[in-house]
Amino acid sequence: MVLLLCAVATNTAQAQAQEIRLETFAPTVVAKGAVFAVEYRIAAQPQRMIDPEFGDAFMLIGTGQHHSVVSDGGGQRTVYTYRYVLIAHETGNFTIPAATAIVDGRTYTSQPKPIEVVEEGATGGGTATAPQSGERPQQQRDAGQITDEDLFLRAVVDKTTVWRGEPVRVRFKLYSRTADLGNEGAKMPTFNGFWSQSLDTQQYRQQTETYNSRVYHTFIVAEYLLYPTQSGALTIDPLTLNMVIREIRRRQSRSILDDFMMMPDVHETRRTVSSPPVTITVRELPAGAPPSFSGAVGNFTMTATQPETTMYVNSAATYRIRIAGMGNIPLLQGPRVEMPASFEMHNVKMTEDTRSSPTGITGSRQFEHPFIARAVGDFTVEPVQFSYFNPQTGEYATLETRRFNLSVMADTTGGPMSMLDIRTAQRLSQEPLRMLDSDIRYIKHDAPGLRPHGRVLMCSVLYFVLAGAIVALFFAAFFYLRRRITQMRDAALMRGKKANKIVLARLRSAEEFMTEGNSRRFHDEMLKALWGYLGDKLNIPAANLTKENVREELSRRGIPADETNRYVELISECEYAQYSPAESSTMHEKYKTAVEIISRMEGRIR
Amino acid sequence: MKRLYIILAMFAAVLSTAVCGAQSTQADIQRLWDEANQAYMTADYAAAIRAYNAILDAGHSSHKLYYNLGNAYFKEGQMGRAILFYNRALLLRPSDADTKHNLAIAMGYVKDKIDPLPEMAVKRWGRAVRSSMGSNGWAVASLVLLVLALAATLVYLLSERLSRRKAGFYTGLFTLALLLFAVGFSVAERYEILHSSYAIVMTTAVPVKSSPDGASKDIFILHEGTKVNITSSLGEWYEIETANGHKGWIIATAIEIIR
Repeated sequence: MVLLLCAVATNTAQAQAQEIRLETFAPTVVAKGAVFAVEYRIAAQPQRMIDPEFGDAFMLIGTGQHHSVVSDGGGQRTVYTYRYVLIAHETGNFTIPAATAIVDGRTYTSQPKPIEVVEEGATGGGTATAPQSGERPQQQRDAGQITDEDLFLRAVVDKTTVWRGEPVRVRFKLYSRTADLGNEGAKMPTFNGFWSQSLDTQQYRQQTETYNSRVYHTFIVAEYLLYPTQSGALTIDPLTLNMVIREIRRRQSRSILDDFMMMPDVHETRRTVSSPPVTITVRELPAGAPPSFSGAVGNFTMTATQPETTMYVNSAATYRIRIAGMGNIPLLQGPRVEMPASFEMHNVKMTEDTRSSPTGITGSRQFEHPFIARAVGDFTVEPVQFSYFNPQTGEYATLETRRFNLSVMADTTGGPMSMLDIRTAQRLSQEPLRMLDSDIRYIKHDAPGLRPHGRVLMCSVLYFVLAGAIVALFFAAFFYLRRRITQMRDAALMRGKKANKIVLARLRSAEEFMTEGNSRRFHDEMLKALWGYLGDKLNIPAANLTKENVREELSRRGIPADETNRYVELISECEYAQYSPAESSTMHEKYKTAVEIISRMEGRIR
Repeated sequence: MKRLYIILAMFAAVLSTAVCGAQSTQADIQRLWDEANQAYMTADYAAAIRAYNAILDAGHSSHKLYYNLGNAYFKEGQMGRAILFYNRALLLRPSDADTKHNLAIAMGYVKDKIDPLPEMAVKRWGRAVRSSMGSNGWAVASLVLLVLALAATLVYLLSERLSRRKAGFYTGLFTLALLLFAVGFSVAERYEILHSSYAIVMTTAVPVKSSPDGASKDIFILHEGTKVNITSSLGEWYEIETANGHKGWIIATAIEIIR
């Protein structure tokens, strides 16, 4: 158990020992004759520090050491700093040598670091070259003496000529001769004509570099990827920073109290710096873009996740298309997906996954096309095409998914669906006729039906001839028909007049048959007399002579019903007696009745 | 009776001369018609236009000819002429659905969008009834109605029964009223065919002037295919009125009268 604890303890100690490092903090570039500091820091208290040997190029003008408590993720640590103040008096490339610290009997050695000593240009202002008796020469100068050359902002672009849609990386870099600066706010440019993506600047540290053969501290204030959305000469507008410059001034009259309190005299100056505008030449994409091109610039791959190859009618599925790569992914438009017409397409769902880095935006966009199969059958989904412009090669490239087959099955419950059910489903999902386009209707190619131009039937001779013919026909018909009617009426009159004579002749012959005792002939003659009289008198053709017609016609002419009844009764009796010889006894009576009725009728029917 | 036979004989003679006169060029015309349709089917619209126009030049016309010619001009992109010939086809057969459909599509290419002035409902219905048949249709209808009216008159005059006489009287009166309408419509349609005052703008854009004078002010601009009503003429100028009531003078060469 104790052993185990010991092991744990040593492990922890080792872990701690591994964490302890001797680090070097030194500028990478310094001006010849400038005063600068090299610091070695260690997170433990060294028993001994072996001073580094700076060599002939540098002159050591002072050393110092202090410790401070810093807190990091794990807890608080004490950092011991050893500072060496140097003046460089030779130009060239040198090495900051390694220092060695001994902590708890262990030796820690720092990494050597390169340093460049440069000759500052004459433009740099004479005061900067002359070493002052302080750490930083700038601190001793008056705020009014800080010129635009001492503090300025630059917009650094990686390219000045790009294709439309190809990103430009712009870094807004602050150059300063003094490191003691504060930022009181920045006004970011609007980047007209670009789609911008800001990048993380936390990773950047303060650096030293030479610009116009002077040494500056540089800070990256902001960094953007700019995607031009239009062609032509586009300008990156200035970024404006409100800076505060802090200075510690040497007092003209020091009071004892100040010295005692060690109060530094800090003086703050405010200054606004802007980056000069930068012009980017944006070239329009070359002509001859494929039809499936929709503005994607970069280098991409396309993968399609096809739905199941068999599905049931009225069920939903998704066709996923993922476009991945590097380029203007946030501006990417999904490729056109054409499904067979009987598939009901729904809204496309888009998901995006991107990472921004100074080299560009990488990641993917996924387009999900949900659809519902509305008809049974085997369908082929045509390939989906996606085109992009590759700025590296300066050419368009087209990606294509594979064509795939989808078979839509009828049953939804697992059992086979009857044809009627399918038809019912189709009827329920009927759609109005979809007009695809409009065009004029086709020519008429049957008989042309030509007529002489400008000839119209109305008011023509033909029209009046026809109308006249019709009117003439009318008059002809009128006169002809009127004459016929008059004639017929006369004929009826004649027959009525003759009726009495005929019936008398018939009755006379009937009387003869009665005296002869020939019952059959008597009745025959009686019927002829009775029917004939009515036919002639009432102007009814023989074929239409029925008892009903007679009754109707007589009552129309005002003959009393009992009279009519007796007449019809007499006819019935005669008809009956015609074939029965036994009736011969009533012959005389019938004859008498007939003569009576007819003579009465003669007076009434005119 | 004899008189009737003479009239019929005269009528037959008139008919036969008309038929004989047409027969001499009948074969040629039929050949041109087939040729033009063949050219249209093979999309040689320029040739189709030439052949259809040859039939017109021979003095023949029909709504089908105008319709096909309108189609050929449409396919050639000459919208003004297409609209002109569709309108001419509608004069002869105002109820033809195909012509109406194609005219509506051709009108879609006309730049001027003119909303016509509102019309009284009764007038609109009257126009709708009138344009259900062409002049000839109404003429034939009037003859049929004449026969019916006279037949009803015969019944009225000759029937002995009162009910039949009554029926004959009212039927005769009713058909007489219809007859008057038919004759009126037929005459009106005939007037449209022979003396229509409507015209179609033929040039791409033409200024409408305030007076019949090239130097006068431009009031508005009309574009190809717009229909105007000619209200008067002076020299080579026409006074026109648009469907929404704007008036002005236009050069005669810029428009084509529909009739």
